Amino acid sequence: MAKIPSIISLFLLELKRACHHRVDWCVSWLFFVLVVSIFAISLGGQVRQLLPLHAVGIIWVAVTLSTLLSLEKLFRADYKQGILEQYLFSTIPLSLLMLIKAMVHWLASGLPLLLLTPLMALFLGIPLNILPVLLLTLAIGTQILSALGSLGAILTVGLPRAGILLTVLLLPLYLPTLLLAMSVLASQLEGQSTFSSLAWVWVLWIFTQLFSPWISASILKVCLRDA
Amino acid sequence: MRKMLKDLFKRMIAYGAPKNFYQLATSWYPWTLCLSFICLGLGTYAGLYIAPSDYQQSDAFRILYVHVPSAFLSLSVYTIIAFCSFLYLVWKVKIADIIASASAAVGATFTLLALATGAIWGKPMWGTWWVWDARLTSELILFFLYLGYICLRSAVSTSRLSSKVCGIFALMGLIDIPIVHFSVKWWNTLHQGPTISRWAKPAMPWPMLWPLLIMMVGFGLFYLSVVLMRSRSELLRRERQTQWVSQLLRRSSSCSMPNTFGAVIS
Repeated sequence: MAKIPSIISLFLLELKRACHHRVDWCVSWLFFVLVVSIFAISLGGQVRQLLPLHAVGIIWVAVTLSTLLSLEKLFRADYKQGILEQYLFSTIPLSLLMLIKAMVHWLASGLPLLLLTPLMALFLGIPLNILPVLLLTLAIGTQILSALGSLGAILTVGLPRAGILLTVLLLPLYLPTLLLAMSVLASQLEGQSTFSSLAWVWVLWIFTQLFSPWISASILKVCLRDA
Repeated sequence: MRKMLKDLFKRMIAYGAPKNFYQLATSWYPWTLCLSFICLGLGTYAGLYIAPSDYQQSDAFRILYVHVPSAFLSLSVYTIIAFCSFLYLVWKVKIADIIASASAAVGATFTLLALATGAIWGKPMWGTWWVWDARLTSELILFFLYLGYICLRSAVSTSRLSSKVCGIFALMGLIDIPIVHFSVKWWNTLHQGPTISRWAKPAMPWPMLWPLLIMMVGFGLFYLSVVLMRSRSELLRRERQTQWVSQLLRRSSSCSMPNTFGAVIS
């Protein structure tokens, strides 16, 4: 258990590096705001007629897209500077390192989007009573997206044109999260109990958090040998 | 018994060797292609003329003789790809990876065919081209996975890395499809899904069933022959530096057909 300080220091280091590249992250936040605004603007005066379910759907799609946008940079610098190879020789388990990367990604991409969501809800005229549930699904959902996303990012790290490829590969994998989150929101809007659908989102969360660091670690091991 | 198993295993390993697989593919694919054409012709004729028309759907149901085999194969080809990727990732079976790469485009075609025939059938039967129910959505996502897989294959030039990356992606997609199916179903049953899509499938009488079975065999054989053909050329491309390929080339050029292999290799 002597490793815990080194794990914490590594986490802080990764966070510091994320702060260093803050412009990259800001682009994805800006993208989120832009997508939602463009939706609202293109509807013109009709935005008031938007049903709450459609509005939360727009928010969720925008969150998914901007998460995808931020993923390409997640391992790119590590790969170019040879840090990924050094990870292989670290005393900290590789899966834990991958978990740290996913958590840092969530802090830099998911959390800011979460904080921006109330403002965007204002743009789309989402009623206030749905906002807590929306934020809850986003809080769980963005962590799932980060975990799956780091998996995809590590898979495509050495490839040319990884950004657009990543989008094509990951969107089908993101679909279940999106669907289950939307079914939670729909239950809330219809006044039904959200318990059962929310439970499925939690199941997805547990599975991705448990398995994706482990899978990304093995992907890293397999791919670095040939890259 | 044990000796027999051992023998069988040995023989399978021997067919896993590129050269033997090449010979196997060369000798098998004309037969499978011929058989598949016979089955497809017979099945089409029987489906169109011999099978009785349905009392509810009249003749419109006959598109099922194309729709069901292609839908069935779209899923099974993906499973084959995932299984082969697993074989490649765990035991480094080269042939498995070649079969997976050769299958992707065929599977994508079957998926597109299933989607198209389903839409054509759906318009007169359901009154709409498309419904977002679980089966259709997961078929569409399957199509996207196929396309993603093909894009990923072509994006990486070094073949060993691309095989591994694609293999992992195929396995991830295999987990994804049932989850998508389940979550759409969950969404729909929670919130009054399209009830038209939940028609109960009546048991099929024998005169309608047997052309379908023949068509399924025909489709399967067609897939097999195309995969054998494609993996043969892929095999030659990958093994172009080995001795047996150069021997093959020399032999074929002495038989005065230089273009057949020359085109593949370059």
